Amino acid sequence: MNQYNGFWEITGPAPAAGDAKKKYDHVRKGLVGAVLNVKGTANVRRLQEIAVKEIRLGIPLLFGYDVVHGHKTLFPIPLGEAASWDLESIERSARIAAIEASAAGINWTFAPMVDISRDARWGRVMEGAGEDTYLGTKIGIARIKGFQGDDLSANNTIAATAKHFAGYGFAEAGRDYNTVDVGTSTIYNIILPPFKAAVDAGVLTVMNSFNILNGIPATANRFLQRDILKDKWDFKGFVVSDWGSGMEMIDHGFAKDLEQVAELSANAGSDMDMESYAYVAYLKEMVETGKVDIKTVDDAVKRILRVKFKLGLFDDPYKYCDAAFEKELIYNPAHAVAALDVAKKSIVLLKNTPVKINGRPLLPLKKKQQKIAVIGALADDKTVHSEAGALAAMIILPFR
Amino acid sequence: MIKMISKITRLAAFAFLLTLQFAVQAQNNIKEPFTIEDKIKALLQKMTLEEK
Repeated sequence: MNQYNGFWEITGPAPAAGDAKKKYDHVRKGLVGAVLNVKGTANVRRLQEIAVKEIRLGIPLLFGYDVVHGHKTLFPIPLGEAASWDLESIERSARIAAIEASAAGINWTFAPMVDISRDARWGRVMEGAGEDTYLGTKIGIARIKGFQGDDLSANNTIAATAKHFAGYGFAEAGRDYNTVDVGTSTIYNIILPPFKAAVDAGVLTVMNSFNILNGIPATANRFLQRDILKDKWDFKGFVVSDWGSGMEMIDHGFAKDLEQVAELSANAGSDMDMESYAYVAYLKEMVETGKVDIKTVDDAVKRILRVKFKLGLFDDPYKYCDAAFEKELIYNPAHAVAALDVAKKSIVLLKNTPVKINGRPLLPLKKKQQKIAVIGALADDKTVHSEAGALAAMIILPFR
Repeated sequence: MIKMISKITRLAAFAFLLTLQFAVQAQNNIKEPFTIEDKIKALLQKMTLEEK
């Protein structure tokens, strides 16, 4: 029920001190079920070997990563793809992302983000499909199909995650992590439908959220995770917390300490603890003192194991560790062609016909003798494209 | 004498076929172990609280 961030030079010597050593020891003791941000077949194989060969029950690890818009070959950001309205292309984009990610050892992506958002000031608008619930729902389904494919036991399909459950896109004043306070109509008609559709489409995991929803943090929100997701919608996969979202309940003033974080999160249905260290430190004690029922723990563990079985990791824990595949598929030229195609479809063009703003002509733009201001620090920043560092030379900036 | 041997042979063959049929039936009656849910249950039983 614990997920740790990648923490040391995996194929190098074992860490001798500090936090890295502590985490490494936890992996070797079998206290970790999943890691994130570990990629590359050599790294994944090494860690998986520890889990499978050196630990008593040999339960394979999940390897999660934010494969959001392509893996190495980058596609347009999700909001850009949404502007294409082209579900087939969006599914293909996710499919190629899964092919590259799985070739790099990853078996679980923290995508798609199916949060509906209507405040342009929110810092994560670009990771979702925009403001419309219907379109966002359709796009969420397309992405899940692309990531998970038709056969989860194949070596090029990965588990998807519907996130962030729920209400993350409605942060007050668009300030990330801020309080969310919305009515039931917004919850049921705008926020929840894309998640329900994701569950119906077979998404394997759901990620909860940093925010408080109507007074209760999503991570400790029994109404969302148990009543709606698991009971009403009959979701059989597992819920992972967002990075440290359990621990952040202390800052929210909802939990007094990490011990209570473990109790509240587990009881509310947050099955896997990403980077809060609450379960690893206190869950056993919570069960022994009767604050968390062992049946609750068993249910969470079953859900996590179910995903590992469905991915075929018990049949072949190294199914994503083929170095030849990795070499062949990462930055495969066919993927770049597909990315360019989706990029073209994502571009939104303005009609260059006469428009006036406050009585002054804005359009049409002149073909000659027209100056256009490109404003902001990112206009000339090639590194902002995240994983595309290696491709920076190929990026054409708007003002060039 | 020949008649007797033939009778015994036929009886033996019948007994053998009967046994074979029971064996096949018994084999088929064994539940296919091991749906994913069965495997999860089995694994869960082996896990200590700490390992969970």
